[in-house]
Amino acid sequence: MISNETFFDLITPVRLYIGALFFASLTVIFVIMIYIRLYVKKRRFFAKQAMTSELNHWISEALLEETPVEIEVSPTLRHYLRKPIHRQYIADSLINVRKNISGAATGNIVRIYEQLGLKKDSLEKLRSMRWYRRSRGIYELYMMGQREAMDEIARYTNSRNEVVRNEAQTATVGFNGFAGLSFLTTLTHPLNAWQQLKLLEQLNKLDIEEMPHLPQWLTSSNAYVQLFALKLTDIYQQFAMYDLVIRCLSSPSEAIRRQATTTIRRITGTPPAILKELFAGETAANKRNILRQFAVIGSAEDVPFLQAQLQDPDDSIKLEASRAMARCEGWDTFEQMAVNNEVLTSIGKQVKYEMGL
Amino acid sequence: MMAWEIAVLMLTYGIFLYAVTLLTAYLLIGVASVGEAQKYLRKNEFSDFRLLATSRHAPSISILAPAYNEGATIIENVRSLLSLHYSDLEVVIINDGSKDDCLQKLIDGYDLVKIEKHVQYRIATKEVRGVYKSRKAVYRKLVVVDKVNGGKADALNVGINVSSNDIIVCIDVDCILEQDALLKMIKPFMEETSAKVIASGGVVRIANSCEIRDGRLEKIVLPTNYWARMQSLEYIRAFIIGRMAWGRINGLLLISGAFGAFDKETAVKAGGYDHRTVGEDMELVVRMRRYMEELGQPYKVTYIPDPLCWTEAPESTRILGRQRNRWTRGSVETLKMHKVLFFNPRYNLMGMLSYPFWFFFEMLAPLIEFFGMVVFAVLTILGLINWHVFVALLLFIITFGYLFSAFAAYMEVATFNMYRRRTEMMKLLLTALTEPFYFHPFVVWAAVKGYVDLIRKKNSWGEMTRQGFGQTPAKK
Repeated sequence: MISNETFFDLITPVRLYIGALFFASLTVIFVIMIYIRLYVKKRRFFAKQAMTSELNHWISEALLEETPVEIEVSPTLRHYLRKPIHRQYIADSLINVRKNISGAATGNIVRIYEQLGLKKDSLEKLRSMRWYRRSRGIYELYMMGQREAMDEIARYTNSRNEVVRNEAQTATVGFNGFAGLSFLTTLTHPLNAWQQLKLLEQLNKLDIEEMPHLPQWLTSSNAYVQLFALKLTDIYQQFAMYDLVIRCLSSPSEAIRRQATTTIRRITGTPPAILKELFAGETAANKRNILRQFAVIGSAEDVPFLQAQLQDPDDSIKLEASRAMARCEGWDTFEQMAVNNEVLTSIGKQVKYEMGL
Repeated sequence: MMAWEIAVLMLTYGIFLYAVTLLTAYLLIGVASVGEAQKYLRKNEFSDFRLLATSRHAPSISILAPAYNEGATIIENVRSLLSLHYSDLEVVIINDGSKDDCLQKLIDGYDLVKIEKHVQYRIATKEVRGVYKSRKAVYRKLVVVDKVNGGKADALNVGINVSSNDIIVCIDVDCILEQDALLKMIKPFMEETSAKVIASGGVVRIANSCEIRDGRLEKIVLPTNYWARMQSLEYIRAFIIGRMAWGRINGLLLISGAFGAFDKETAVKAGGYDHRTVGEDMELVVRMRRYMEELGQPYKVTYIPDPLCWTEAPESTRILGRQRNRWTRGSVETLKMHKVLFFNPRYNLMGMLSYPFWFFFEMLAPLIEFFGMVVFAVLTILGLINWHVFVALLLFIITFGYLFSAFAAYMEVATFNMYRRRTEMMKLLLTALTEPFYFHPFVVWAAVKGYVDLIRKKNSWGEMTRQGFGQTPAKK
């Protein structure tokens, strides 16, 4: 039977003391671990300083010389190179330099990376079963332009692990430019907005090339691929994709419809009638976006449509409609409507201020 | 068995069960935080956040910073915000009817001029008196809103109404943000594919004694003041261990009002900040989550463990007491407003785990501890204390507390390692030793006073005097 006596039989002072001793011992272990960590970090800091001074010497030589640089590994550095953590630091330092330079000097940085045997480390990481080692291996090999690893890396562009997959995609585009986007055709996993931004920034540095698979991507069953293809169509003004972009306006995905609306503006001179047809059923954010496109490619013909939107209960819709009217020769109409309408008068003042009227 | 015997028995086992559950929860939180911290660091170790700073494909952000009587430091604070690395940024300063020269200083300092701006009161707020922008192109990101005083929640709601962008970052204007804070904070919004990220919280650290120049953190130093140092440890425990673990299971109910990012549309649809509570930061997160749960849409509240925001902690018992009093009232008010969540399976994890945890171990904890102290005093007076058991139990609890603090300190060293000197870590650990006898009872007492104030319907924020970072003292 449960009683206070049973409780005190269970929670005896001796047991509590044992528990306290156990916690105290663990506390002491953590304190020791803290100081070991701090000591190790301090040692690593000094080691890094020593390695940095050695590396700086090579790097400055590598940056100045047009011709291949031969490096001589000092005994100090050889000592450091024995430890994986120090090798990792050297690899990271070289990658950081590589990121910030271009031209012949990059070849010298890559040469140092290879001569120090760091490529072997990167390949080992690539073949590791652990996702964080594999993704790091891909990153290092790509940053150091190790093209021979390309096929092996390309296998991971549809990996189940998001980090590995993203790094492999980045590497493939890095190696092959626009042609590297071919992974989109078979991609079954999501391509998140961060990764899309990374890829677009990579492509931004390159001259535009043909994208023969673009129609396929615009009709992909993977919504993320479709969205990314719309962005490509927009940025690289792929006029021939007009019909496919129009089809995307009827997508069930709000993000795809929004991007399609933005893309339309870039590949046509006049807003398609479907935008007006779809308008009523759109979300507030998409309505605002559609009206923004009218402000750029709309004309006096669209004023009645825009005028109708001034009745919307959402002031942000009215504001965008007003902005579009101001740009579509509809300002007189707007001002007539604003008479005795406090909200429209206030919106009108803002639009006039923005346009410097 | 007599009725009082049954009552004592129930009390004994009840408190025992409570303690066991609490200790188990802390252990689980500790374990969960390790894996999550490791995953975060590994995932982001070679992320190039600089891409976001300049990319035209990056989402646009509005920072909302309410200011009330911040005249002494406002120019520096705004300069610090304008220097953040992010190109598509709007910095909205909301002057909440300050009685000092805060607005005038902004007008003079940034060459502001009143502009025509239509304000739609999507969330009902006090009246907006005017919107200002700078004539200088270099300050084009700055928007200053002057409004009738209505409190922090009302000011933030005005900020939401006025802001132009889809992601809003709500901060305390006197916080120091790391230069890359926004880049790191926005990444989760872009990464998530399976659920919509409705909010993202960042770590807040204590800036007392740190060297700050031109609104930037120059050198990180452990606070020299005991109370601020103790709070440093408390924040490490809360942010590196607690929120990390809750973030892992998508169970976060609180994002610090000092630094948090929100999806504006969800915040507006949920109704914005509630000015009826002093815990408006927690209340908004709970309401946004509840809104998403009721819609049946998948969502996430994420958490960034990088130390991105530095704030000044109270250095006196008077101010600290007021702060903890307010936190208690805020928690109780929020939980009361959303009592429908309590063990309600309709709200999934939030209803079945997050809410009950907050209820039992955050809201009730000070009351239970206080009750324990009272019972102890009574039993001592009556001579009914079994000192042998008492000392053993006390040692058991205290050593567990030490263990948790040492673990937090270890996690700090193993992850972000802000306090690198051995002497600083020693000071932090020694400070932890005093916690059960000095800091903790004080915090419990302040929380109990919060309950008393709540019963007496006192709902003021309490004056929060800040020293300012090497500035003239300012009042908030």
